[in-house]
Amino acid sequence: MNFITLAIKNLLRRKIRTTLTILSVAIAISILFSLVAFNRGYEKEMKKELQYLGYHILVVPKGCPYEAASLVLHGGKFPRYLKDEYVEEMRAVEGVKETARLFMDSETDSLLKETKIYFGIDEDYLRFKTRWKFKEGGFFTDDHSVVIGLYVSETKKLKLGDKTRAFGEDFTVSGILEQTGDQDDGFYFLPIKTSTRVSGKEGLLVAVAIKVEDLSRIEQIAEKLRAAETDMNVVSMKEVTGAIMGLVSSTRVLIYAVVLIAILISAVGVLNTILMSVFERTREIGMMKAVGSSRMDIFRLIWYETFIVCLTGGLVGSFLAVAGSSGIEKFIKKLMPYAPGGQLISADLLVIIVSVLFAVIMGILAGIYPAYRASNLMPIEAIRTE
Amino acid sequence: MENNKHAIYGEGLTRIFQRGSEKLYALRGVDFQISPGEIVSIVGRSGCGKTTLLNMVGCLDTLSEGTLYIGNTEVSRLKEKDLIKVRRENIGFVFQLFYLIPTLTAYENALLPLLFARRLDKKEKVKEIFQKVGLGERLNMLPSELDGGDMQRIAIARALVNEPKIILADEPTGRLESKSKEKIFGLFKKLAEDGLAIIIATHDLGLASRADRMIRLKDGMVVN
Repeated sequence: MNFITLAIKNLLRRKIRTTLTILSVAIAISILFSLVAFNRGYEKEMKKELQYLGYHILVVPKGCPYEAASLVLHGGKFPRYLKDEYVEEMRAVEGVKETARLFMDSETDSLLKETKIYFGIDEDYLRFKTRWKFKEGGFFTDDHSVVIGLYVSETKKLKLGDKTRAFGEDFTVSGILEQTGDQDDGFYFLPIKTSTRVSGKEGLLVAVAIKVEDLSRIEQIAEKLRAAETDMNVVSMKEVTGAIMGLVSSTRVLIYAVVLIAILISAVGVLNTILMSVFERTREIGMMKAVGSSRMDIFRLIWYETFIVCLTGGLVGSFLAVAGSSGIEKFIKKLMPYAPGGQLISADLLVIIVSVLFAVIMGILAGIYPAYRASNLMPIEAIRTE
Repeated sequence: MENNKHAIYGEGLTRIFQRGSEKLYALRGVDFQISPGEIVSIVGRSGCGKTTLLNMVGCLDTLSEGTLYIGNTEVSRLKEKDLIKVRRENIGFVFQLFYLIPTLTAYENALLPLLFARRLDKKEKVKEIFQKVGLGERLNMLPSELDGGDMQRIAIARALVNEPKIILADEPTGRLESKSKEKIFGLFKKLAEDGLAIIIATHDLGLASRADRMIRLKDGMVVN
């Protein structure tokens, strides 16, 4: 027997109370764990996704440029459009290296309750998507071809040469992309002319993607593009990234505040539980002093009890967070203004260490007061029976 | 002054508690001695000072006035750290309510003083003591599985593991039925024969009268 086994046996005396306290720590730590893991994963995935896009500048219709940029990244129905003829003017701007026309529309199947995102592109787009690789087949073979992402192929069981319907017309799968790890996995890519025709938006675009020759001149080129037309917005991806990260930061502050409150409540809960158990054991602690324990022995014993509760809570919380990471990820994604498609919560060793360490620090701090109170109890309390 | 003869030697033991401007005398100049192998009982009504005297000689409380020796050590002016050492080496406590830890086995409960004294290397001694107090077969039982008499034996075993010279027992039979009372007192007799000084504070005059000597306290003073 040693002080740790004694502390564990003391905690086992009130199993329900101890379990509930451990659970409260576990919940707080699992929230912390998810958030730390999410923060690490989010920025990494966000940067990766923007890099994969290959755009330097995105020209979108008038309106909120960030909403439009987000729609391009995420997929969806656009409220406004650009005229196709602007593309030639953009190409003429000095410093513009490549342009690609983009069109997007969606179709909702009310029976299956699912929405298909159709992305209209042409061959110019391939110069932006240099990372694309075809798992099977290749680019469009005719104006009724469709290229699909891997997720679409797997979930809809579509193979090369299969037919799929969009806007009342049949399209033949001419290519299946390898996994990209972003939204492209879930898109149907149609030839741009066909997609604008079937959507009844001929001659219109949702965006024009632009690559520049010299990255250091992005802002100057964006200014020139802005001067060229009045009914469009020109946003550099640097601005989009900055705006999204800004929104994420403000959301993050809110989530951190919630986590901090959860941890504080949990720490006060631990303190209360241990303090209550100290008061309940006043005479027993007095007995321990009478049979030879020092103040430090009692302090250590009570501190160990708090420490064990918090450490166990930290480990259980980390385990719960890992086990429920996909659910937690979905929940957090809903709170974020924009979330990239990859796995956002990656439970690496560092995150586990940080979370458990946090629980341990919480245990050390929450244990000080009850341990101090217990160590200062008078031993004569124990033998006072009158 | 030296104390070579007595296990405890106290002179003019006084304990004053201050309540506002009022002074309350829990003990007033009590002279107290006990020799090795002797059983002394302390009797008196509630509030007469029995427990205070026990606290004093058990080094759990400090004297307001007087001199107290535990063996050869003058303890009246010792600091807390030194008092703990005196307690560990000289005194074993037995309480009316046993104060056993319910999740520890009988054996583990008795080990506690060795844990605090960092003397767990002596734990084999506990088994011998359990034989001595008649609990040889019940080492691994939980307190809840034992009756009051057996629980008090565990408490006595716990008091003995540090090989003390003095046993202080506060109402040790207060919660026991008559058969268990007999057994516990018989055990104290046996321990006294082994040379331990035993002080029993009790309301039970029947038990007290069987001690070698009885001290009656009233209002913090010894009365005949």
